[in-house]
Amino acid sequence: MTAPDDVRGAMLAAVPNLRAFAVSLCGDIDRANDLVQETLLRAWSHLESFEPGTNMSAWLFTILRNHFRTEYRKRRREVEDVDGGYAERLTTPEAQTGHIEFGELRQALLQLPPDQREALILIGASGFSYEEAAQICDCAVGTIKSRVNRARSKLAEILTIERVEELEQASEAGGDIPTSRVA
Amino acid sequence: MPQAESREAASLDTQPGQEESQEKKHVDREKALPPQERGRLSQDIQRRIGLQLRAMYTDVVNEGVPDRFAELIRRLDKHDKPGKQ
Repeated sequence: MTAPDDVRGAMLAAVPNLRAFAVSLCGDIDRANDLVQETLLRAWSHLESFEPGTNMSAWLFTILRNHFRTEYRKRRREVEDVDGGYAERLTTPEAQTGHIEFGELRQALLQLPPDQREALILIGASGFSYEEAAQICDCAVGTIKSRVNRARSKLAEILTIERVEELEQASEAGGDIPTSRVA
Repeated sequence: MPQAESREAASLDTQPGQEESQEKKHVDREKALPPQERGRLSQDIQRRIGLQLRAMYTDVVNEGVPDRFAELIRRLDKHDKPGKQ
């Protein structure tokens, strides 16, 4: 049995990384905070399914990831209903996060399929091993590897094309560097 | 090289001071990639994307624990015992 204080401490310690993961996944700080809150509440009420001695952080990431995927599917259905309103919102993450300096990358991340996005973040930013990421995403290690590779290629493609378009726009506009662009 | 790859990524407790050495390791790893992977896309672009991804992530990590979550976790603790044990 896990002592309440240990659990509380482990949850508290995991919050900064859970938030970073959530923001990277959804590109929206408010929604990310809601995801983290829901994750903590779910974890607490399902604590009996946590195996003491295993990685609490990975367990919390799994809960967050699953919750995000469920929400994503729900929202996708809503998008179809409301004429792409949510998808449109997704293309302006810099307006929602307040982290303007990473706006271009956030926007590119949101263009990746969610399975590639989560794999790339878990491996490339959260610091999980391929084995841990495979466990969190409930898939094979090889699947994680190929998703990460595809995500990296796709991101490079998106960001390279954007850079070329920016330069072209800049030269057309007489040298002004545009600060934002509609995709 | 799954081990090298995963351990090279920013750790869960990344502090700002660690970033420089991670950057170096990242560059070393790029050099170690097989030619077919290297050829596919510009090394430089991949490296910059990797660094930016970690920087973006670390930016949020460095915000620490917002009050609402510290409060939430404190309140959870007051519910007699965790889960349904």
